[in-house]
Amino acid sequence: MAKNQKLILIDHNDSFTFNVVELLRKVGNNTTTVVNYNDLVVAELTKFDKIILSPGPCLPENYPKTFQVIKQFYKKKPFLGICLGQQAIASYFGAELYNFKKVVHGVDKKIEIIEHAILFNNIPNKTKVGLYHSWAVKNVPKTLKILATTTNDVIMSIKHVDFPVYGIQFHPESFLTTHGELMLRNFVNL
Amino acid sequence: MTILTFKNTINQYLKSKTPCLFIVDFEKEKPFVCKLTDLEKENIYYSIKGKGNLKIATNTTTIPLKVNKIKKTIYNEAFNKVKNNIVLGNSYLTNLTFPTNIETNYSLKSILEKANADYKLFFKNKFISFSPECFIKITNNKISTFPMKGTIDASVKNAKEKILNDKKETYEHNTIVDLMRNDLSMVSTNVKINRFRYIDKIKTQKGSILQVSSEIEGELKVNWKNNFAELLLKILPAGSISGAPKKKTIEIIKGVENEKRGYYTGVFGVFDGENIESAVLIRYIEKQGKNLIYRSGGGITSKSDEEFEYNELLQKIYIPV
Repeated sequence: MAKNQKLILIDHNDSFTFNVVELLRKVGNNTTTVVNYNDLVVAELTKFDKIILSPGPCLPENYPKTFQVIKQFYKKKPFLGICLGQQAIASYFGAELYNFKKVVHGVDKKIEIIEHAILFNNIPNKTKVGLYHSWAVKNVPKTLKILATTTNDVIMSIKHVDFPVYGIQFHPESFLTTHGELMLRNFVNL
Repeated sequence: MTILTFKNTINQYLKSKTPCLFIVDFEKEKPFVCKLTDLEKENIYYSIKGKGNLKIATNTTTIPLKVNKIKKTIYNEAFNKVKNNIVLGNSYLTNLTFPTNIETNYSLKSILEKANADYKLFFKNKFISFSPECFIKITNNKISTFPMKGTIDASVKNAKEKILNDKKETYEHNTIVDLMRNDLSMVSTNVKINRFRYIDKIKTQKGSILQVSSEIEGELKVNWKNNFAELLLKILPAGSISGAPKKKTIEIIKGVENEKRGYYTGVFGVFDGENIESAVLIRYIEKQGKNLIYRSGGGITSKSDEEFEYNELLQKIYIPV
């Protein structure tokens, strides 16, 4: 097992951030620091091993410093972007966002994993997740792979083709997600 | 009192095991704490599950209320702004409330004495609350919360199955459970859901209703009494009466509700020398000069219908007896 991982969790003023923290406490082998977006100093992230981008309200464009973080560190450190975090990663690499007519907030749904990257090690192909989103990503560029989708083809997970930079649209920290803890363990132990 | 005085005083009372009662308003601007032995001097009366210094009336006659309904156009305007924010991804769940003018011949104190509720508070003849909703309980260093979301008229056919299978209700309840798990995870560890969507039956003047709740629990550090004020303020305002994500949702609420909520949707609680029990200040009547205002509201999600929510706001204007 890798040494204790120093994680930084960037909190985009969300109310599920501490569910992620609690899940990371269960996973173990990590020390997680939470920084609120407003207090984020990009240069200070050099001292961390891995970066987690929290969910949050609004759109990635409302969080310009998050784009700076991706730009500065995506080749150097593993990323996990959750919900808004995935949208930020996808937008940074050139994907588009679109607004749902049918918003899904507090909805549990099965997703299908089409590529078992390390994040989804030991997780069945079809697995139940919790959703809170009214936006999703589309037209992802060739630098990103699609790892999972819903039955309606909404993109549920992406990864950079060359780097361990992951995005997930669903909420691993929700009690609605069956294998959230295992996903975070896979990320911590990357 | 100021936040600073509140923090110092309540932490001092808890450390010295001095029983006390505390109140925090929605905006966290005018918190209050006093020793249980000073309640009458302060003109404060309470009862939590029958215990406290409030007299309970034995004859339960109904209390006629004249309700001057808020204009639907006013409600709809606010509702649509909230709904729009939800579609744009700024909120998943927003609790929208309005004040309603009511008229009755009864005094605040006598209404409260007659009202049947687990959590009752009379505050200096300024407001009363007869709330069914527990906020947090702390017993043996364990903190629990019991978010309540979803009500249905008990006389509806298959009422229990109907509400438990209702998608809108389920999604809204899921959201509040994740939100409250988050809030407990801010102040405790090993957070778990003990009970999910259990049903309580509540009697009202207009008949019985079923109410859906969940129970979430976490473990506190043994020395939690040393900074209880910080713990409490961190998890306020309560998730069930604000929404998620909380910070942005509170901005939305402030933008569409025309006035401060004050103590309405705040919390009150009692420290008995060892443990804490507290409630959300809903089912709330306040005095404004000669007028009485009943404040009520409900959770708005992407699936909410304005007609339904408007009626729910009005349905919540009742005295449980």
